[in-house]
Amino acid sequence: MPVSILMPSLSPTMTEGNVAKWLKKVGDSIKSGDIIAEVETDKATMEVEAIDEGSLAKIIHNDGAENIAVNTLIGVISLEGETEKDIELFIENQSKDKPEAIAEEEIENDTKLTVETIPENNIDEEKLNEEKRQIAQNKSNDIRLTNENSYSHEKIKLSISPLAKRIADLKNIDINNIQGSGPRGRIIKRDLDPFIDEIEFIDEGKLQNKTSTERQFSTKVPLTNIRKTIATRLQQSKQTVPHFYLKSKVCAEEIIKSRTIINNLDLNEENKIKVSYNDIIIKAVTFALKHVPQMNATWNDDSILKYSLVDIAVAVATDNGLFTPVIRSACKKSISQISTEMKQFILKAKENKLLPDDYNGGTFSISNLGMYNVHEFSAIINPPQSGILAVGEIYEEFQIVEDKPMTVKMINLVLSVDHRIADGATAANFLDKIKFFMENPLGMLA
Amino acid sequence: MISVRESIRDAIAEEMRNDPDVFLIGEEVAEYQGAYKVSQGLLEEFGSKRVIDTPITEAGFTGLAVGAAMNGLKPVVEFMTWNFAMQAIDHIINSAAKTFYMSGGKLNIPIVFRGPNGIASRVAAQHSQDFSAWYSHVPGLKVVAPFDSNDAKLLLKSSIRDENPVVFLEHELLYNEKFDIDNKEKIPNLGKAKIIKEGKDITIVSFSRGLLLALKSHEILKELNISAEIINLRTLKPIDKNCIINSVKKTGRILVIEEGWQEYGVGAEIISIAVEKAFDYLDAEPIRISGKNVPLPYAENLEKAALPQLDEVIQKSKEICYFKEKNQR
Repeated sequence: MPVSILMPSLSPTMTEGNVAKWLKKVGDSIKSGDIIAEVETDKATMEVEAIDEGSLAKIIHNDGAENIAVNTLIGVISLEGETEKDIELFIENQSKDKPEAIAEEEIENDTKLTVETIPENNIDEEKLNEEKRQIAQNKSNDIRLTNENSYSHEKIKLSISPLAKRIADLKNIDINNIQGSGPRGRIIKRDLDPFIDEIEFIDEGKLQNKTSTERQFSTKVPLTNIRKTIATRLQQSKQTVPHFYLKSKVCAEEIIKSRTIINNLDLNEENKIKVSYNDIIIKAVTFALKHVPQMNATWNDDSILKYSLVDIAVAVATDNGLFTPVIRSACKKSISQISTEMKQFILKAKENKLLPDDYNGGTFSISNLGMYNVHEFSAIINPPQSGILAVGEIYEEFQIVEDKPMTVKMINLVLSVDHRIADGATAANFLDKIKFFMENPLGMLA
Repeated sequence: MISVRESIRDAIAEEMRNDPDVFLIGEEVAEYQGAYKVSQGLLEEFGSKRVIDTPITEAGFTGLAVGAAMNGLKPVVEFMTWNFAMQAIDHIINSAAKTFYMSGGKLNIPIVFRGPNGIASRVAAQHSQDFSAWYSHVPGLKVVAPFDSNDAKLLLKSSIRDENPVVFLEHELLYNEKFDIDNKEKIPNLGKAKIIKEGKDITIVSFSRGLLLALKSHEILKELNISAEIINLRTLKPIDKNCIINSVKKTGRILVIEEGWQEYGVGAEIISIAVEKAFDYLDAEPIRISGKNVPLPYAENLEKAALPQLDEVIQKSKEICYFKEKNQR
């Protein structure tokens, strides 16, 4: 039977990829280990290695083909003695096997807004393009598209050599983030060397042979997937997204009060709530987004996509890197629900167990470094989102309140906005609404 | 430098001088001085009572020799080749190997069965085969497979002194090879392997003529910056498990070269040891390079193709060392 070349899933977060370049022509013979093609993922260009031997019978997606879902057939290898007919039959069978149906699902209507279908699992490339074209044609801003990225996500079976497994166990190395360099992605000892070779690197004898520039570092840390993703996305953001920044000082007295009240609610032990300032700020931002819907949007290159529901991404720092789990439909959730969800996300993030569904999407992000005693900072937008709110620490300052000098607890906010999506006035209005709901939490009851 | 052929002769001669109970028996060993000229000069030195020509009857003289061993002598039985020992395998296994056990430890069989084993050059299937795995399967036998002149001399002396029946598998195509003799090495106990090249990246285990291939591979791999450790097994049974295990623990990889057939072979045993005892140290799958699963062909080109190839060893070594060619990223 011919062997299919599928769009590989090169990282746990990869859902689709582009064919960068075929390195083999149709008819070329292929040996195990040959590099057949280069595939672009959301993170890097990677090589597709042949596991089987035969010859390249057909290329289905040519150089430059874009947004091909993982596990889509991109080419076919024929084995010895197989005819063109076999190949055709094989391709036909392959396409039959693929589920074509798009689950259509209505979401609740928001009075003003029409709602589009939500593409779900196994979206077929053509359909997706069709959908995009429709969006482009229909210039109306009211078209909603959510969860664009939630294709089926096939979990890769981890392959690791016994030695590497033992070393990983002994040294407590998390193998889930390591890209194996052995055959079929097997993790081998070499892949773990960077984690255990620190001592070797400092070895004096070796250092003597190195030039002075090489001497300056003591350890070379290979990039994990999450590091690569952060690097690429944020670099792309900072280079291509026109950021502008708005700064505001917000009185924190009310959210402090609200938090105390909520956390002192006399509930039975099981229902005891403990919310953080951040949970309240998330809720306030949600309300602001509701009031300034222009900001509840993402950039789509040739259009702006607006959303009826408010999905907010919240930055969570872990030892492995920054994650941004998304609170879905935050507008419909109470502060305590948001709080519970955040606690779960933080736990999952720290254990590296966040799933793509947990962090894909979102229209706007919140990053809070207050707990690290940061006074204020400007954050980089996570594209294609409209903006990000950077929240600083709670600090005290003197103010004249009713002709008396008083110490008031304050928080500094810096809002970063994608100028392609919103202009200064819109963003100012939005920041003002955030300030309003933070200073008047009661307003959220309205 | 001395040839393997002469080393074997020297070992027999020295042991015959040391111990009057030792004698040599087989076809053409006396007057003709050995079908492969191994027993040159022995008849002259020791006379026809101790260097005995036999009729062409392996079953007969092997049984006779086993009987002599039961009665206290120390026969060295030469088979013209191990292929002909098929006629006598009943005595080797049922009479020699099992007697110590079946007599409740009362009856030793201190005997050496020796002769050329494995492939020869273009003598076709019935005269070209490796019996290493066959005999190594049998409890009660010791099986020795020397490589160089040093091995041949010291291991044969050790085999003759051993209280058990020893199958001593020489290799016709090594008889003419000349090697330096290490005069310092003492006569080893059977059951010890020898690391003949130290390395850190891959363990290559072989025995007898397979080691020629292993040593060539060592040189080629060295140029690729792959440091191969070469183990000369010397004794196939009992096998030196510790040597294999320790080496695999060091390198994380094992490749076995044997001229015999792969299925149920010596390589299978060695790799089982590595997988059972050093599993957690393996960084790649173990590899067997062996004779192909056919009776050895007569035609020269096919004969060559049916044996372990240097290319195979290099290719597989590179694969399991995850070696990347320079033009690859």
